[in-house]
Amino acid sequence: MITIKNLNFKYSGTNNYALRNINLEIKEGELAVIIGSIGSGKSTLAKCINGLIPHFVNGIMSGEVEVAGIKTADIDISDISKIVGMVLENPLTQLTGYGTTVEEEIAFGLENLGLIREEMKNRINSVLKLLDIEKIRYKDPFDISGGQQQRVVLASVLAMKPKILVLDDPTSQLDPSGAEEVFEELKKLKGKQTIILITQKMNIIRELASRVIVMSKGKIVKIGKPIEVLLDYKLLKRNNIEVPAETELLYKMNYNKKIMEMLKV
Amino acid sequence: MIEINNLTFTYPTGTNALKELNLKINDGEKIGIIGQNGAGKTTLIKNLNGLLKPTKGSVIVNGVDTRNVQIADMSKTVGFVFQNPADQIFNPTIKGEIEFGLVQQGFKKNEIKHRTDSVLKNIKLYEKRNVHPSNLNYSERKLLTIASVLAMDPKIIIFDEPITGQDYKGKIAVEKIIHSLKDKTVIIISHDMEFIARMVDRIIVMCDGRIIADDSKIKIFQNNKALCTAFVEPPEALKISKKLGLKPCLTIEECIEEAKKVFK
Repeated sequence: MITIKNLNFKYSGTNNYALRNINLEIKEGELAVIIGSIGSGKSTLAKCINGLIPHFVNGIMSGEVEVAGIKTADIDISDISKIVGMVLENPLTQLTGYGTTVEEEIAFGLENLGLIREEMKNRINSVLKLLDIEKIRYKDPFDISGGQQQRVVLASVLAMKPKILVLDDPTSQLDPSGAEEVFEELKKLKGKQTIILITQKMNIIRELASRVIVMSKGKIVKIGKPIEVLLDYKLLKRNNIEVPAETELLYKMNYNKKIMEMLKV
Repeated sequence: MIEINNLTFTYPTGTNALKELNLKINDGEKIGIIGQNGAGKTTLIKNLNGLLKPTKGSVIVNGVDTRNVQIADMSKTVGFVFQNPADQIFNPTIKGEIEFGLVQQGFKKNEIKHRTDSVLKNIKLYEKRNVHPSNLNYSERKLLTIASVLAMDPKIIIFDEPITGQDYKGKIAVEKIIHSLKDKTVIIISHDMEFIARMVDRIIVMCDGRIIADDSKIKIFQNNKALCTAFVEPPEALKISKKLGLKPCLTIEECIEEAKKVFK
């Protein structure tokens, strides 16, 4: 579903490459989680997948990004947005303020797609049901909790039926219950939708991810199964990524078998 | 010392954000305030530095009633680090950002230079002192806002979500600075319970504009009712120590120490 070959990118006005020789293949239905410290290149990679790079952000790019079989450099950004849906960190930066209800907020993107009224209605009903937000259908999107706002953003994006969903740290501005709401929705989507999730929340990776991609200084330094990455103390430390408490303990206790059994690792 | 008596705060929209709060915070205490968004945490801390004035009741900071002083005067006693560094940075250079508050408070030139250089060295931004703050990454900008508050040397420092959006390295840098504030009263709002467990001694749990629990961190993290009401999960270390049958531990370092005694 996504193929990236020898991708390099340098923002204009900077000296260092933000992405260096990225090669990556994401299959249909995968939920790939990207982790890495600030400046590791995670968000830049997301911008390459949704076409903001090279169409909108200035810089030097080489290599290829293909989404659903189409090279992002070859089509308009408006066409890429029909293939790749993006959810940003803070829902307030993404809610359009168009109309005064959640329903109208979701309708905004669909109107821009030029869909007929009946199709719009069907899609709105379907995402409201899927994300369990029917009860806030007529509420003001700016008068609901942060978790609900992020679910409305997610609903607006999903209503456009993108083949790929990219979420850039979608819970960093939410409180724990808001974050939980969003992760619960992602669990529902797992397997049904190709998803790339950038997150700093290590505790959800094990349950959610099919693969974990570790980035550092613009490079992919590891791609592995969640448990493989989460238990790799040295890899996480070396790349300035928060080590889960369980991993820290296991490493310091030389992966004691009894402890591993008791913690069900 | 901070004394809060029957504090009620209602926003002009009619939202009753704080309901008859009573609280005493002693000098040098390290306090965590936890609870869901909308619980009243930020409204409470804005009442502590005079950004908001009580609708009813009073807030007395070091013997001064916040209703009777200007915010500028309060800022000499109570430093406030906002959640989003963009809300706090507005000068064209890093150095200027630190100097601004000191100039406003009427410090002499020599003292301003001494304090500015000292805090910038502390956060390792001295070499970049003439650079525009927009050239810093998020973590560095956060450190800059903390440094601009520290430069004024207030007795009480309030941190609103200091590690939100920070990566591991950024969190460690913030932790180091807060740990160094030994003689200050420190009040932290955070959703990160691992961070709260490492930084504070006492925790105040808020829900729906009220304080529903106020106790030592170990007691709060074992108070399931309060945690559930506030939608808060205890630190991972506590869960792990329970699974391993160890005495309750709040940090993973403690947990490792205890595990070493039991598992040879």
